[in-house]
Amino acid sequence: MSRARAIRRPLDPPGSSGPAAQLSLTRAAPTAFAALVAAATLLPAARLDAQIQADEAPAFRFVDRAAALGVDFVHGAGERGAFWLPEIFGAGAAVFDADGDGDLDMLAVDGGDHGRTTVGSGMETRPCRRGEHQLYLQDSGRFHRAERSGLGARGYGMGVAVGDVDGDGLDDVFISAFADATCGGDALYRNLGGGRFEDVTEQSGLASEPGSWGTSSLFLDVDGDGDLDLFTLRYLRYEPKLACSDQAGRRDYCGPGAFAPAADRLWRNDGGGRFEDITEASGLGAAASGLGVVAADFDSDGRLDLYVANDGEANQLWLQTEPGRFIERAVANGAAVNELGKPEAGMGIALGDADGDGLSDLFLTHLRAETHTLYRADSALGFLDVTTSSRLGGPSFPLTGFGTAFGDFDLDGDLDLAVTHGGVTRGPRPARRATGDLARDYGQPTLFFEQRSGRFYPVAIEASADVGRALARGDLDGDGDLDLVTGHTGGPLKVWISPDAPARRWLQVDVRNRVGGVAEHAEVQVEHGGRRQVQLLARGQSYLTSHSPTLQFGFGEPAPEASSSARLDRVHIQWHGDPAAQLTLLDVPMNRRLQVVPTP
Amino acid sequence: MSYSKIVTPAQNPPTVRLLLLCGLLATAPAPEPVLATPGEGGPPLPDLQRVEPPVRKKIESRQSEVVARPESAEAWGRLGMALDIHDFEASAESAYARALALDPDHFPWAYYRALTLTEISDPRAADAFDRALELNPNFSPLLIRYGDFLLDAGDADGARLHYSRGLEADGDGLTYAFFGLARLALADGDLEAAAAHAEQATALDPSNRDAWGLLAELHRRRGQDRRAAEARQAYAAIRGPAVLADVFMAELMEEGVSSFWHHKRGQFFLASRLDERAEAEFRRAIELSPHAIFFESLARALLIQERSDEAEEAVRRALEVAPDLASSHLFLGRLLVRAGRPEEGLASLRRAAELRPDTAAAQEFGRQLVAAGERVEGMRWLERSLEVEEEPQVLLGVAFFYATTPDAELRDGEKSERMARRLLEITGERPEIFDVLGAAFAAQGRFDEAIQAAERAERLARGRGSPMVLQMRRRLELYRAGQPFIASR
Repeated sequence: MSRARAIRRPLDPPGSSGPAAQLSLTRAAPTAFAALVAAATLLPAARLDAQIQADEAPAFRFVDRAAALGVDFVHGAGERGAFWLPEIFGAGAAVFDADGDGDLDMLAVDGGDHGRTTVGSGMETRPCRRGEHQLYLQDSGRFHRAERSGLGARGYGMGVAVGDVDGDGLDDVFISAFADATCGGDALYRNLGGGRFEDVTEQSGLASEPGSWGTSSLFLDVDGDGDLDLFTLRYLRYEPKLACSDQAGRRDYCGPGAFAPAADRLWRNDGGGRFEDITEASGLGAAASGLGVVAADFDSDGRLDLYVANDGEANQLWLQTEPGRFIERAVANGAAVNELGKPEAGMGIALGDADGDGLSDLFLTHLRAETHTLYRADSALGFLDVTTSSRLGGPSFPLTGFGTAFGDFDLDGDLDLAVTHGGVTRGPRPARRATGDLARDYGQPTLFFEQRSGRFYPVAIEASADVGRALARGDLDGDGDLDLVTGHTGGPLKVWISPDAPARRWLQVDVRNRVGGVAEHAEVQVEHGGRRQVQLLARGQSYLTSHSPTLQFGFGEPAPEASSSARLDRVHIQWHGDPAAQLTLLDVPMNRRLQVVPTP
Repeated sequence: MSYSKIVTPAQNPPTVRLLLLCGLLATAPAPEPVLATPGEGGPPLPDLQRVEPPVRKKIESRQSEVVARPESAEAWGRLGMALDIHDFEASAESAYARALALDPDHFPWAYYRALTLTEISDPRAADAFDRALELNPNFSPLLIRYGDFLLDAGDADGARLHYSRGLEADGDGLTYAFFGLARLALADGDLEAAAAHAEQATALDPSNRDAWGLLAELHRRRGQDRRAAEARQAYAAIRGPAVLADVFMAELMEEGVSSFWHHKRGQFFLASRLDERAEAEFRRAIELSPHAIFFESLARALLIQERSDEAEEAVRRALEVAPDLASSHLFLGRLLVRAGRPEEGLASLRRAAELRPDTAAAQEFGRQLVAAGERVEGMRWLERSLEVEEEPQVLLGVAFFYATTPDAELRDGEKSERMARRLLEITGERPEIFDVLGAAFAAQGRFDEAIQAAERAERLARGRGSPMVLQMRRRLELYRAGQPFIASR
């Protein structure tokens, strides 16, 4: 009996004579794509006044600068004591260049007023009122509201996916929602340029049916036809009349086990502005309570696979066996449950090569008393739960995690972690007055972890107590290190800026496609000083989130004079969808954003 | 109450220790607000607004005892228990601490305090565990919980010490001690030792689901697919997580007076076949909060007592409160079918299956349809349930149906073959799977392969003394004669 495993070829050691090491600009494979001339644009760093931090101090820090940067968004959850479950799950966020001016903007997804309130022992329902998603455009380092962005809300907003669905080089936006007959549901917005969007939901066929509950979603080219298809998670078939209590007998939000799970949806882009539901044909019709998702080629067969974090049920690893056809293989590959065989309450997902072996590892956030879980990719066994040895169990045990991202925050060459937290039930956080103030009853801190030799240590950052949900990554201030944006249920959008100038050498890689759009799911390898780092351009991950498309690498070397002389050995880019679509650059300057645009 | 785990700074180098402490401060919950101050000498209490009346009454009563006898460790400890069980851990910890200050040698207060501190992620938990251990060094639940705490804190040596002591200690912690040692060995990368410990845990307590789950993963990592599948099956067959027997925790649970705890205790009594006590607990929960789930639990307790009419009334109350509660529709459907009202029962089961096409609802509906002679629709629902969970017995039944159905239009050997192969992946080699695979090959006219599969099925079944051998032989003879096996209508 054979067992299908997600086997990904380990990278050859740097300097070996393996296939990857043979590639260079002058030895491009003789295919149509490889014959293209790559225009590698070296963009100057915005700020280079480096400063080395003392080893004794935390290697990085973040400061919430939302207010100073002009960001004033507060998520509307619409809570009125009815304990309507979707209201405790929202607050999506995205970081992307909405207006095409080269810097990063931010989108905050609003919930709205769902209209449910408690009257006596029953529930009264008034007409819903749509929320107000907010696009913040960056201009000279500050952000301002795009008042006429066209991103008007439909439904009760949850999460966001960003991608160029019409192939015009501009990022379009999909917003998932809890759908209501009056307020609508999921929405697709076409980017018109200049920070303006057009609602094309009806034309696209993506309008969702009332009662459907969309959570995380992402764009991917599933059928290899060159345009982006859409995969969107459905959480539960929610029954609002079911009530639950906490241990003291107070009303509280119900857990997912009280409701039927819902089947996720795969939509094929026909290239003409319409999406067709191909869920059943794709084999993805199994119902499960999905909250987090990421797409990557886990089995190295050239096709994108999907990994779904399910709440309270086994996670799913959907391996794409032929274009648009998937089979589920999480159990056989060790990614369905934790090392104790237990399904956990999967919320958010971070994808990244945490241990530097060239394989994409998975970090999943979970419910309080479960611990978050780090699955290390193994070339023979699929995934191995290494939470205990990585020391991520203890700090995460008392918290409920949602959004998360790997990132080399201290630019030392390995990946660190950030996680938002926020309860979904009251739990052992000291219970306070049940006024409907979500933060007081459910608020938990955002945590940052520094990696040191495979172990993760919490880094002291301001202890917030908001109900953390989305977490998006990107170098917002263009200074060469990563910043973060976090969405909070019923709370503010926070903009976590890394306030110090990068103390170590770095490189950012921005991979584009032929029309200048983001080259989704491209893979970038960088080699320097005998060490190789690999990152995948996967914007859709975390929870209800879309990350910046620019990949960030750190090299661990102090950078006092980095601007002039520092160079790294090699950068190799593999575009997704065509094995021959690759490019190798040698002797590349550091402390730059490298934008790679294939030109016809 | 579960127990928490935090990092132990002592196990890390100085620089990292600083980071850990900072991190812990960041994760520690904010102090519980003092919103109600009792009379002179009394303890600060959390906000008791909106808690159910018996909870408030109990806590306030315990508070009065403390006010009346402020030097009584017993009064402070009992107040801590009343707070603790109703999720006011921070206040509970204060009360336990006061009780310990008054009576430093009383083990329960030290034990509860250690568990409460872990629950709220307080760095003082390690010291509290040490104090409890001084007072009762041979209590296995304490040793196991402290071992778990240290393992997750990264202190492998400390964890090993306490698990090893758990092997020798009083109480029922032996299984958990082996389980902990298995986790330790896994963290060390010693798969063989880990598997040996996990196997000891399952041998000592075959109902320990956690140990089976760990064993499944260990077998997977060792490349032993069949054993992994068997362990996964054992895991899936056990309802509910393993519970470490602990007299002190049992005493704490008794303190719960909210609808939540009445319901919890009712479930425990139901599982223990103490049906009348379960009924009483469920009725008390309903008095406090008439939740649909409580009515459904009451219906279960009544049905077990053969009080079908009352059970039906209770579950219909559940559906009045929450009309789309799939589990109640499922329960009602089963009840009605059993009561000889199949049409009503099927209607309820259909509703349950539509609401929740998971294993229980869709499978039950599918089975009942098949039993009612509606095999085609029944199979459709059974197949639908497989989309959610590949329950091996259902998969086997559906695969057999598609290979052998007398309806030629429905017969689908390829589909049956796919299902049988999937079964082999899930459960490993079993005679009945090769039997179905043989039938699937035969349905496609691939008789050589059918014969091979059927021979293998017959050989395996014979080796296991299975009563299926005769049927398998008959099918084998058919294949040798170039005929598929067709089930009777």
